[in-house]
Amino acid sequence: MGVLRAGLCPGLTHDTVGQLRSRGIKTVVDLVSADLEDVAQKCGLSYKAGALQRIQVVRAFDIFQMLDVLQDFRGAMSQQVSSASATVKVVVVDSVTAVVSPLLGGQQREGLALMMQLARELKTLARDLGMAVVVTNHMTRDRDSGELKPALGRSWSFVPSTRILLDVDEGAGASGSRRRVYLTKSPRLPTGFQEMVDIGTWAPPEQSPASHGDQI
Amino acid sequence: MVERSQVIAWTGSWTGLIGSIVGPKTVSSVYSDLISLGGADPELLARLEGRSSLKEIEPYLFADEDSSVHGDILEFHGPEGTGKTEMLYHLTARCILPKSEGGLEVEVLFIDTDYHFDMLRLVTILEHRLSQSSEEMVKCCLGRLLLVNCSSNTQLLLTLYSLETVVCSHPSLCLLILDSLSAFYWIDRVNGGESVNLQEYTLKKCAQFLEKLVNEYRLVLFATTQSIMQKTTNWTEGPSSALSHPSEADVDYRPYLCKAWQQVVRHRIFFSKQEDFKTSNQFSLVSRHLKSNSLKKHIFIIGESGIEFC
Repeated sequence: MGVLRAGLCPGLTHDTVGQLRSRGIKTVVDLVSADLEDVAQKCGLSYKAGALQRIQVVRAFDIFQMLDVLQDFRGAMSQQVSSASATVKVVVVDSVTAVVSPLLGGQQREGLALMMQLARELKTLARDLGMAVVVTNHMTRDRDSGELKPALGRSWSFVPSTRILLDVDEGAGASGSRRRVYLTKSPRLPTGFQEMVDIGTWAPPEQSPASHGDQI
Repeated sequence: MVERSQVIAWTGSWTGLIGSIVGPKTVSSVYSDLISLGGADPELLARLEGRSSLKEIEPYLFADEDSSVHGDILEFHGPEGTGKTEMLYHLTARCILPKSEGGLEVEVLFIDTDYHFDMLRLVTILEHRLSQSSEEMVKCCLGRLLLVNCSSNTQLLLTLYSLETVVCSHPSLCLLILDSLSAFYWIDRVNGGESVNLQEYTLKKCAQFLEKLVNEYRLVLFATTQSIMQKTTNWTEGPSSALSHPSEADVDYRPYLCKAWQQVVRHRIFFSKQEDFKTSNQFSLVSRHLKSNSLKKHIFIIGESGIEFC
């Protein structure tokens, strides 16, 4: 797991990292499992470092592990009495391709059935439990036309309700953190809308003549 | 309660009964006779008499349709992002809007099998189409929408079986929407093991029951099926191929659902998105009447207020 270092999140300065380390908290997992109030009192920790504690990281490397994790999570969430703090609002799956693409290919319908079962689990979390579910997927090349398209095929393409395509900005300036973002599927907005973002600063990039691209 | 169940038992033979009373009396006068005899529920009869036909639901698409006594089953087919669900919202809005706003003021039953339904989108469409969009008006329209979620084919079948009661107790219900019928396809195929019959069993039962429901109560059913299979025919094949009609090449259709479903569909409507750069926000649909084999193409765009035909 990630080792704590300065700048990992707002409020986590060099001094703070040193103080945490002196109390045996060296990694993100340690921080997340520590008693925040106790640590805050002893280290004079900024409240913002508590943000890390609100992220629960789970690893799953195959479809069965993934389905187990989601089912356990759904069970735990359904029983939880909703309180003002500490309800899960966002589920991020990075990446769904890693877990599903080994199942596809050939004539195996079991793989597709498992993929659709995963889709159903994710949708249940989104709809019944009111969470935002974000998954990442890769791009592949179409066999016939040679064009880039999202991976996991046609059956998966019906699953997400919104799709955003991230692409490296062709005319990127000196910094390599610029990305073009396209809305390719939406239940409520017209598609084709594009925007440029800087993933380093998450601020709109400075306007330059090169950045006024064509409208789709 | 007893009276109602007696009336319900009669409904299957209404069409036969009316057929035999043909003569100088019109159908509506027969109904009023029966009502005055105190032997029938006037609400029920109003439903049988006043069902909206396909032509009324969307005159632009179905202008040439004769209103069928037996109801209609239409299939919307197409790949992702081609406007099938938007078309369902458009048809739903046309039905649930009040007559004063150009709607039909009838009820719609929407069965959602893959958590697809977006209430916010439907509300946006209603707000744009109402001349005075107040919360009251929108709520009143939504009061005519019945929404059901199903998470497996078996649940869908059980829901359909229970629909008969719903249809009887909602006399102004005339539109059934099923989005989508193919949601459980892969899961069914695996659950059925090696036997194709077993794999298709539940869907076959669903199709048969839907046909019975639609015929008996003269409903209109729109069901969507997703294009999850690769194209089978190559457009560049020579004239000896099965494609005789040029519009068929637009059609990315490979039947994969069970025969029982293929047989109950009367119209198949194929959706696709225009690939041309200039018309990149346009969608097209090809409507095919399966008995007469006639094909018709329509173009539409999707705006804030929903579908607009070009």
